[in-house]
Amino acid sequence: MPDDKKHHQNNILTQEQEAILDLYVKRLDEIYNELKAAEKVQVEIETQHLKKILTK
Amino acid sequence: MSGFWRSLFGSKKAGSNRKVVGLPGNIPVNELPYIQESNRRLQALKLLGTQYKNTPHLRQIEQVYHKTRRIHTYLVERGRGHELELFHLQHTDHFLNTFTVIMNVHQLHHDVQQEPVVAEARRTIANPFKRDNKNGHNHRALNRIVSQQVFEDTKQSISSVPKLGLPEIALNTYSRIVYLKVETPDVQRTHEIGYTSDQEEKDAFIKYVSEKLGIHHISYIGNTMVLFPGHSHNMAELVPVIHWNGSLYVVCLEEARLYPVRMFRNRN
Repeated sequence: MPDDKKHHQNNILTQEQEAILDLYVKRLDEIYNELKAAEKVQVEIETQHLKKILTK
Repeated sequence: MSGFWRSLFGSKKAGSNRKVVGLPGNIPVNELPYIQESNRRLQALKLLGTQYKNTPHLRQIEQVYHKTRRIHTYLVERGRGHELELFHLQHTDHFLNTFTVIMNVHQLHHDVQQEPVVAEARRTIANPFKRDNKNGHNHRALNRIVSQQVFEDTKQSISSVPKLGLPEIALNTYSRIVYLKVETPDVQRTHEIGYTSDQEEKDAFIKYVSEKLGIHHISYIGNTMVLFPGHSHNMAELVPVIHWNGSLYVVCLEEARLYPVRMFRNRN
């Protein structure tokens, strides 16, 4: 990649590798958010369940 | 008790969301191996950060560590060790593999730049024919003719030409191998080598392999599980992987022998 020449000397990663690193950080956020989202759904299910019992 | 568990996964504070969903009072004992192995991966990620210390990528490598630890803490608190292990197998291990190899190869090139004499020697090994172009050309031509003749011969015999293998390996980033080093004729000391070994241990291992096999300018990559051809017990063995002269090799310590391998790449 010709653009690599612009990079600083200490810059070990190629642009593609940098992009992968970026993606990986984002992916970790997604995984965490998915875990939290699944939890919210569970809370909702439990709440509805309890509500159903109480309003019988 | 819960203080002990929290100290184990390094979270002193209870998360504000702790009371939300059914949490187990205690983490069952069978969760323990998952937690330990997860901790080793976190340690490996931290180590990777020190390798990338003087690069502009440090911040992101550190982010990977913190975000991975966040997932670790979340799942451990909920006793979902199995899921955590799966997450590491599908993500962390690949990440560690890739970014360790990138750094190792970079360092190797860096070394070459600093030692021009070594670089010359390395080139000589890599391309023995390049030195004298004409001579090299003749050699290659001669070798091709001989190969052709032998190939014609083998076509008529029963034996087939074996195909050499270059199997794909995946690094194991958390287990260590013990090896025996003869310090003096009477004294043998055991050493350990693994992905998370410190630089001193890795240097000692490189020295050991260099002396044993008579090869130099190698770097240690990690350990991996392999089956050796011809070993009677058909059991996978954990063995060290080294990078030498542009390629990866598995070291069979017992036989002082190298087997060429390549790194597993996720193709999707």
